Amino acid sequence: MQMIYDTGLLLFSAPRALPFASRKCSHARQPRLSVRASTEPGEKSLEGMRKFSEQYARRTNTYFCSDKSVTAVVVKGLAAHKDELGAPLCPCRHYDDKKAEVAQGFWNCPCVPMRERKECHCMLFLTEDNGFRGDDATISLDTIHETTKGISGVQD
Amino acid sequence: MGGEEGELASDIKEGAKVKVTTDVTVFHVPKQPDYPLKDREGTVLEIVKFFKGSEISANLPYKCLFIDSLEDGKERKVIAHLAANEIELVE
Repeated sequence: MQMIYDTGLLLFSAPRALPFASRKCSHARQPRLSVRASTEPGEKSLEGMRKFSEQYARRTNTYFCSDKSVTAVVVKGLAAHKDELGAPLCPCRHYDDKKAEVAQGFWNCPCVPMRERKECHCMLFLTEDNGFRGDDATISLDTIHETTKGISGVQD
Repeated sequence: MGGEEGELASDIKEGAKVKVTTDVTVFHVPKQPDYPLKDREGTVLEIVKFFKGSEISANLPYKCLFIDSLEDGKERKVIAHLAANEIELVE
């Protein structure tokens, strides 16, 4: 199985407090900066999505991919969207309006096709008869970190 | 299967009576792990295409309600999402 990884860029992270920013008054003028939030998820979200993935796979009798890097990228993408949007929007699709998609919910993980048909095009949750499935539905945080260095997990 | 993902059928509106024409099985019905939908008739509850003015990319945009009569006289309601090429209008 040939895997194609998204080499997604790590965008600018949120700035640290600027040395000349006033801390005395919350209304003090701040210099204008155009900053794009990083898609690198926080540890809490990453651990949360890792645990959710394991539990949901158990609940639905599904498995992770035999190549755990596939699982890792998806888990990371879910965590990134959770941080960015407040909900784990499916990271394997392109959207015109992510906020509207999150509010409507069809593609919030577990998405409607997964909930109703056990169809996960991300290859996160694989049914027993799927030829790419592994033997279990577990993945460690270390594995996620090691196999997703430099990969955002989000398809944009 | 033809048609684009999430494509709508011009003749099927909310409230329409439809019949499932393809082999679709759903797994979210309580006490019924494999619930086949083929040949079942239901009603379109909602077409998931727009949300507050923005277009949504749902690939199963027809949210339909199916009602079964059970042996004990109760009704079982099943809501499932379907694509345009999985249903047809019932006259």
